[in-house]
Amino acid sequence: VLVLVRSPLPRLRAVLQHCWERLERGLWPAVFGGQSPPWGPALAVQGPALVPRGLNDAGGGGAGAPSLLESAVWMAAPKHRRTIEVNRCRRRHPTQLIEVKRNIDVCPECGNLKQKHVLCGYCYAKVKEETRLIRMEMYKKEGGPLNAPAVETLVLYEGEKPTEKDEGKRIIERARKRPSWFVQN
Amino acid sequence: SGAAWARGLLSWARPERWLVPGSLFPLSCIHTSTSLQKIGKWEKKNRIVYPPQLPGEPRRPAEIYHCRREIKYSKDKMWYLAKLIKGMSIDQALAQLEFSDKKGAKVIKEVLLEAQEMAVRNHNVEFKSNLHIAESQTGRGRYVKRVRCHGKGMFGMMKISRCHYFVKLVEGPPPPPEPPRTGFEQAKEYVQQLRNRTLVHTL
Repeated sequence: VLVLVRSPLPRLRAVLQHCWERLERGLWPAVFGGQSPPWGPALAVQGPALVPRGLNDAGGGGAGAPSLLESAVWMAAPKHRRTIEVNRCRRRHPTQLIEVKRNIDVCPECGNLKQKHVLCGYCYAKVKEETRLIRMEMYKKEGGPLNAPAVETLVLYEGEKPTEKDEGKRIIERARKRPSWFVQN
Repeated sequence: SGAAWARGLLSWARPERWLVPGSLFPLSCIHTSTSLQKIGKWEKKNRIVYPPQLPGEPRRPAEIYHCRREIKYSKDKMWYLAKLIKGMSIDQALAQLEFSDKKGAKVIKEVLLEAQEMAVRNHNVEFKSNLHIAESQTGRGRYVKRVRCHGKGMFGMMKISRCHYFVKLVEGPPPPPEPPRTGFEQAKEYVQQLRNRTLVHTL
């Protein structure tokens, strides 16, 4: 523990120096010679609190994180820098490049592009919109959630009437012309 | 000063002026832009005006340069898409990009559609399908460094990357792909190199 005191006044400085010398003599009597107390074999007591040293804590805290120095397992790390030529060979390899898709066709209904194994996006969006409007009508008829009747539903467009086969079915009216893709049974 | 700037720009744009031997660079070639937003080199490429062609010359195909700046995407990831559509016709490129799952595909598709419309409107292109992609490149945009928080109070610095995308459309069908180099061709080249060797500093 170091205490540095600098005072501008010389008299105060002299007093402080005197005090400091006395303190040093008291703490380390053997160093300053003269009257040293007789010393011989004595009992050793373990007491970390008696000799508070900040070095111990610092040593323990420092060694806690890099415990890898003592551990027997070495971690893998790159030894040399990968040059840009090597990096380019890896990044531009044909397996890394995007493949050209060969399964794109033209939808016969709307003329937009579609993948062979997937529904046409435009036609699907059209159907989805119409379904949403039908569902809104159904919700209005039911009045609230979880009121679905236990009968079939029939969707009728402008100018259509239910036949004898469609007795007992719930009828949903839509105020527009029947779309070409919605085939009537 | 506006007229001087326009004059300077046009005199810079005429390539014949530079071919004249022994001509000094006149001062009207230098132009100073007072705007804060610097107009990039790729945007300026659209402004070149060629002199009228002579009757016997073959028709010069129209070239359209377009770009988009500061796209929020990585330039390396964007490069893969740019490499995909290099050399394709514009319809094929749009088809490939529509069904690509990458984020940059949507951006590049918008850029291509914009460029196609520009070509038809401003650059005297007759058929919008008669275009092919001659060049498509990516560039590094402005990066921003930010703090990325890890556990236990640790942090690292991450960089938020942006990129530019440049495309050049040329009128006409796409050029046929180069045939791969055969071993016979490579052998012929090697033999030719050996034959070209001479002795230097001798009689």
